[in-house]
Amino acid sequence: MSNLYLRNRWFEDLPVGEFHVFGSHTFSELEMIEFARQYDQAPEYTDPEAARTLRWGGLVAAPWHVCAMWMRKMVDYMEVYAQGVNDGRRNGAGISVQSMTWLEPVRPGHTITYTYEIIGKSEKVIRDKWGVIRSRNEAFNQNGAKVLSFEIDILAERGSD
Amino acid sequence: MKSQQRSLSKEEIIDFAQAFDPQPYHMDVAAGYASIFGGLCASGWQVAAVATQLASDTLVTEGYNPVMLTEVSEMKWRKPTFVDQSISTEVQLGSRQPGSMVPGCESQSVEISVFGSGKSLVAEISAVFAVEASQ
Repeated sequence: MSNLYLRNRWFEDLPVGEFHVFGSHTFSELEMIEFARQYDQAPEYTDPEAARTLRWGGLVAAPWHVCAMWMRKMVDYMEVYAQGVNDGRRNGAGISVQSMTWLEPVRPGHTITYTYEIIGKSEKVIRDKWGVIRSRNEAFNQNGAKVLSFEIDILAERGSD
Repeated sequence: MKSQQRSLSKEEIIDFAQAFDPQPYHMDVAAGYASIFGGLCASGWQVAAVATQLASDTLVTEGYNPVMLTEVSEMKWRKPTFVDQSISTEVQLGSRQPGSMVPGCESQSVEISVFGSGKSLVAEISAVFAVEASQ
């Protein structure tokens, strides 16, 4: 049970309290710059030379880059555990985010590890078949410092009896 | 305060999805049509990034000095954002609090309404930017 994820289970089978360490990523300077050039052009995120004299004393990752990588690691993790499930897509879209806080800068070479815990289930039924799962998600750097924390509501398909 | 507009091309949507959100409805036109969204649509994270950048640019234009996005106390995705749809935002200033995770900054709350084509509300974001502390 504990090594399965929501893509291959119904809403009813997802227990509050379930916890996963679901992925890690080492951020490179190049990918940080690539992301920021398109989505957040401040020199702290795009220009290593200029960033050296700025607030963080060096290049850091754009805040949304750290979140986007959460999504990538989550999708990869779901796909691994969806294998062998014929109707394999029992999770739906994210619908809302709460209490998202960036706590520490992510620098080139930092390895960020993402965790996920189910903290609530809504009894609301959406479009006749979806339930809502609330999870707390956190990201830590290689020194154990928390760099990002948020809650997200994601649709999960309710099983037919 | 109204922002500039930006749209996301099919290529930009697919590029982002391949890197960060590789789900069929963000990468493939046919899968998009077949999905709950009814068309190829941008990752919600891509929309969030574009919207907060537009809002941040608006703050700059209005004389504020946003340094970094530090919090999203709430974000709701209302509707999908499709290929080449114009994205724009309306920003309302909230409270200003002392202190920030960014040294030497204060925390400025903002409410960001994100609009797609035809002024349809596609997302709502309650955010906090670190801004240069007032002298």
